[in-house]
Amino acid sequence: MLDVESFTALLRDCYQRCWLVAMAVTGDRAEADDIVQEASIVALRKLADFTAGTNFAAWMSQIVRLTALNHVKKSFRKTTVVTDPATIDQTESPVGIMAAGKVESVASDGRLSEHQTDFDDELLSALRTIGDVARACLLLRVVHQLSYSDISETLGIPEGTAMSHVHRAKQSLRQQLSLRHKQSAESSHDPGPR
Amino acid sequence: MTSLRGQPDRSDLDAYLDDVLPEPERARMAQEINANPELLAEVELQQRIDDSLRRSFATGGVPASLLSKVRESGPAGKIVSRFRRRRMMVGAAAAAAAIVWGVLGWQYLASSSKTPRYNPNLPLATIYETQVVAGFRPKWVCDDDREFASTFLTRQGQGLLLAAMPEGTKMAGLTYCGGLSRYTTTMLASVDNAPVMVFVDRIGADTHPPQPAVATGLHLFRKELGSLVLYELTPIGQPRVMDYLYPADVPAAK
Repeated sequence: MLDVESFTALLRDCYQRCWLVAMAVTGDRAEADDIVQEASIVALRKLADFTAGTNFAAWMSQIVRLTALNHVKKSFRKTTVVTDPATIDQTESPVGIMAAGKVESVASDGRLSEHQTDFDDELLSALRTIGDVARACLLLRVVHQLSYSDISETLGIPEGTAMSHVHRAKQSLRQQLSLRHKQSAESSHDPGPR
Repeated sequence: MTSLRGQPDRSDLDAYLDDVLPEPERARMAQEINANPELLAEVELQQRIDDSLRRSFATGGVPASLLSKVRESGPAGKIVSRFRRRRMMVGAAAAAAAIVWGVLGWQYLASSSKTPRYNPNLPLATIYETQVVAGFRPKWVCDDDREFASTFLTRQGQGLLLAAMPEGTKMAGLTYCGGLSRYTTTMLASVDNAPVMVFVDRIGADTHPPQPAVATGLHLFRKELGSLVLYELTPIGQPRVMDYLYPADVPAAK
């Protein structure tokens, strides 16, 4: 079984991947940090389940993803007030906080990133419309530059599915951003009511 | 599917943008992009998107606090994370509130009339309607399997666990609204957006089996699991929740 020092070294290597997986589900930097921490403790206690020589990053990422999904599920349970049976599913929706419009592109302390731009904001807004698995695939591919083989192992989905998610997510983002820019260009040329 | 240009889908463009296009096709695609301003704009937009994603989701490496906590902890140790700390604080507050309410409730029961809080003659359909009108809110949401199983072990004398449920079927939580006895534990669930209740009690409490509520349009299903009896009351024509429940020992603490 791994000792704590070996575990720490492996965790350091795969931290960014784990954090992106958590971020894809929650959409919140501070929560992503907490989730990776919580998942690290869970992993530490389950070290006996990890088979030496297998992919630690994939094993750890799966724990992070489950922890993040559980956290989102609990958040919905605890914060949503159901008044109409027709809306019951909202209390249990596993879609993720990001899809509910809670994307945060700010630093943990609430400050806007110094490089934050309108384009970044529009992109993050468009990112909300993508499912959490597709979002995780996209972030792991673009930000962490993982191979599809690694994404497949990390998220437990076939390589082809991961690639399809990334391509569709990119298409969707391009379409949404093009449309927004087109609309804003048209409105800036609109002479207004006469 | 169509691309931005209204032309047929260009999977080779996606592959090019994703850097997975083999070399001969890649060179051909690059030529095509350079010759087509709309394609070029699309490629530039994707590069801008990728840059923005890398900027927005950049991480500064592993927080030193996490590494030190992991080292301090060791495999058998415990770390109190922010979630867990919050949960403990909420738990402590809930325990304090429970004690206060317990004392107040005891004083109330000791001094007030002898009207029973549980009406043994209330049909399950009436309880269902009351719960729906009240918002179908559970009184308690279990955090994990251990808590779920312990609740039934304590109240009904036998642990119970819930298997993974299919899409569209969701457990909202537990409530305690009577049914078969004052100790009945009831699950509130949703199946395809319809509210469904599962009443669970000891078989010995099933002395006056509830009758199907035909007039209300609800269906009633009965099942025995070990020493427990389950009644599923649902607007759907078949039981969709109780088949995922199974008797089990309380799982060991993690």
